[in-house]
Amino acid sequence: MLDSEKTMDANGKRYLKEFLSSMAGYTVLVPLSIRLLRGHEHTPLGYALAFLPIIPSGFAMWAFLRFFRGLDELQRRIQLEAVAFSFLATCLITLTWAFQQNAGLPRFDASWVAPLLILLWGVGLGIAKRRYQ
Amino acid sequence: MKNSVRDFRAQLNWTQADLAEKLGVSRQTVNAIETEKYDPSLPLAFKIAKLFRKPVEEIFKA
Repeated sequence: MLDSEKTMDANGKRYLKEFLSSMAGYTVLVPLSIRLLRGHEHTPLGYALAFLPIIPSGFAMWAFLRFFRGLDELQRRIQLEAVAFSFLATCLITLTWAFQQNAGLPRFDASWVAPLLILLWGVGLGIAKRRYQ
Repeated sequence: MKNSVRDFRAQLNWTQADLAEKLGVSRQTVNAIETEKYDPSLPLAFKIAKLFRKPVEEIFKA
């Protein structure tokens, strides 16, 4: 394997390892946080406990930024186009939903925004990669 | 933008992977440049020109 491919591969492997570790932490901390929160709602301790799952999420974000900085210029462009697509499509969907609420749709749960962004980021990646193939 | 990266690379008997390694980019990036689907940044274009020992305007044409 060539050095550049090794570097790219090492970058991708490191990201995968860091991302999976943070997701494992998230999977453990979400139920733990919910469980420990009982009886502590609306208290400083409650807010601190509810914050727990954000710690591994922040670590996952930091892992992606490290991965992003290790990409070459075309790969960065592909990622940026995918993120732009995801951001705009999420804005359009949530705005549409907001107006549809006036017509009777149920209230949109804000916790769906992050999964929607990630899903549309994947769609955007597929579109952007095809453009440069 | 038109470019002659593929021709100059072929003259040196380098594969896309060889050129990618020398430039420190992925093979996919070299392929996208050669097929003119992606115009490289100025620093990368100069790096390519330096590798081929040609003026940048001989490789890249508007």
